[in-house]
Amino acid sequence: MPPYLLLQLVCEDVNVDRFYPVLYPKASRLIVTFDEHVISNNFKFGVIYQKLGQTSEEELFSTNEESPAFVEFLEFLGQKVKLQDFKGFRGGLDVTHGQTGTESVYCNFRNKEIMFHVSTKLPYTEGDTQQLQRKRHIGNDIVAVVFQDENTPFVPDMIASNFLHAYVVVQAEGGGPDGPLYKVSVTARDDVPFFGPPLPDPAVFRKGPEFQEFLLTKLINAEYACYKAEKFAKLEERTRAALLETLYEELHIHSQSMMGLGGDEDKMENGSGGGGFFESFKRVIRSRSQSMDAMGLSNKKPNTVSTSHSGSFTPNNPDLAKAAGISLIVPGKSPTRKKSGPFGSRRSSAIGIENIQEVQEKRPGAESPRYHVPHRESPPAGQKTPDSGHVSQEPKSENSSTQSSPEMPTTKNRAEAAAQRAEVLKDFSRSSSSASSFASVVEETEGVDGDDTGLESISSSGTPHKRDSFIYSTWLEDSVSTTSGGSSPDAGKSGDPACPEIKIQLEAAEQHTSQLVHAAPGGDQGWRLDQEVSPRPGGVGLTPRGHSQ
Amino acid sequence: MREYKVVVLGSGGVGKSALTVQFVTGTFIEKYDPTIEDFYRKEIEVDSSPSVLEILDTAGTEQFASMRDLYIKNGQGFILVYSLVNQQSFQDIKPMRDQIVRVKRYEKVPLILVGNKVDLEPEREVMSSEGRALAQEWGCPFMETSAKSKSMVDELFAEIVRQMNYSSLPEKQDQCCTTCVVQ
Repeated sequence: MPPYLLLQLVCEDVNVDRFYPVLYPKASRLIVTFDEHVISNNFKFGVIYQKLGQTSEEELFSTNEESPAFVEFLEFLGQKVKLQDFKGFRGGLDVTHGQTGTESVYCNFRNKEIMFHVSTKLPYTEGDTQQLQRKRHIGNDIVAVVFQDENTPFVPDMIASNFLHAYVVVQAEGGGPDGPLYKVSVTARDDVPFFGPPLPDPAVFRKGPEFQEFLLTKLINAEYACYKAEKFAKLEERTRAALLETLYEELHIHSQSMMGLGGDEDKMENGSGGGGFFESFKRVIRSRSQSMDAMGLSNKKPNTVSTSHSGSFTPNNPDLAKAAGISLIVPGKSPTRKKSGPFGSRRSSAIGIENIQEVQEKRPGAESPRYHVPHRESPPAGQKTPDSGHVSQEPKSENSSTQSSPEMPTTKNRAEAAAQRAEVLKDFSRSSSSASSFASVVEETEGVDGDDTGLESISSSGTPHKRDSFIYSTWLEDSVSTTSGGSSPDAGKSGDPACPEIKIQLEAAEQHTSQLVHAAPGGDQGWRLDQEVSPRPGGVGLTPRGHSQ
Repeated sequence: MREYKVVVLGSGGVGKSALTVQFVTGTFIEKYDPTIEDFYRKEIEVDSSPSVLEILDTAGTEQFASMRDLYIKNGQGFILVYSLVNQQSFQDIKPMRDQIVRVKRYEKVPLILVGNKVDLEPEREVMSSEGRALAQEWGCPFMETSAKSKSMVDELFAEIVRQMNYSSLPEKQDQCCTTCVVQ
């Protein structure tokens, strides 16, 4: 199947008819860096202490004393840390000169570092009505917690900030021997999509790990949701487009210089006589073979290259390996493939998965990996399984080439291709990734003679300014498996102690079916209230218990 | 008329927006409202040469690292602002200059170091000598301004235009700076 059809399987909108190989060893790393530029495990949230009757920004930021209830809440929220020489995520606080106070509240939650900007712990400046030293941190946070000792209406608009898009209002209630109770309300700007976990009805929590889990999850999800608001989404889209443009240029330049098609400077850098990496490589091979001939060591057939495998290449379950449609390449292995089915000498897989995690464990004395891949129903016909053993590979002649620039298909071919695409699309279950707006196709290219080139080709389905698309051919390095930020629940476990494993964990986001109760805050323009308790007039107030809807 | 792209950088609350708005509109913003990103255009005449300044007022937070890279890549001249009543803001601008040099791959980028809020002299935490020493180390001009009293604001933007005019294209041997790391 031609590459442009594979691309259209993933994204029908892309109309690409030419592919150029990317011949740069670090291409895959650059692509991953581009794709993960939005991923962060560090968060900073504001914590504002609102005393009874405080209704203005100046009053909120001028509070210095902390009530016992607020102190207890902070201890529950995270751990109190000394800022001097603090080694974790500092969230913009000064850990060297003590300019932002002496201590703060910090938390490590599910491998995510959270620094809280607590209004009462930030420096207080006498005579400054705005308390800039406090607001310069809290005002630059996207989500903030507002803690209330007693029932006081909180109006989101009273804090002027382009950043603050969501507030979680927590009000302390008198608890019994089991600890205090907290009433929770959530408000966000109109263009912030709803985020979980949903508030229970009534939205009252007892102090404990369950509430901490809820609160921290809500805060993190709030920040993620806020990034989808218009102000941030526009910036993200523009930044991503620019980064993609930069990626394209970088890969293009590096590929040109590898091919020896760059400027004179590139040629001089890449080889003594110019011609880039490949020319240099040919020269080295030529000189080496000449020296071998001179020494009388070359007794092999002139047109064969022999490669051997020290270990067998057997999947744990061949059917599963076939069904997965996931291209996994192991360094040092170059197995031949059986050609069968309509896909001929190519295998493709659509990747549109929320979270893919590969963990490769190396153990002494074990070289052949075992694949644990999730089963997919109705696998595409003709998936290839790798053979084991010794392989003889015929080198390609000078004029043979992989078809990286296919001709456009005829009308008949187009119709067949469309039917084929419809058939294949049935088999691929796709989910959209929030971290990446570009789906990608992973494809293993093979030479005309069926030899495995050892190149992994990735084609990004989104290209800036309708440019010709690249096939990103990356050279496999020693460490192909990378561990993503998330933690795998069974990363350390092993089915068979004799074999290392490559586990691919596919995580789908859980969908909460329970609905949030939407109540419009009285008098606030552009803010939406997500709460189970009825609002007080004039703001996102928390009503006493018993008045919940 | 020649167009100049200027990027205003600095940590939160130092007066980046106040300086920019004071220059563009002649008014001082009293209330602090943290900026995500604002863009301004103004026609000015520097050394009897008319020009258009495109000023990008940026966020003080370090949250959007890739966005700042983009600003730097597209910018021609840079105004690095700190508050002279806040020592931390002075420390914060040092990595920003390093980032500019890293992205631009050139040491002699048109840049001005600015100590703002000179009207708050009694609360000063950063001495003029400290700012001057850092500017000397970087090889760039140094100014102390006040957006509130409009002290040295127009001069600041005129100077960045001059800096951009002076900075001709780098020679081939100067192209790569000391901060480049070959991997």
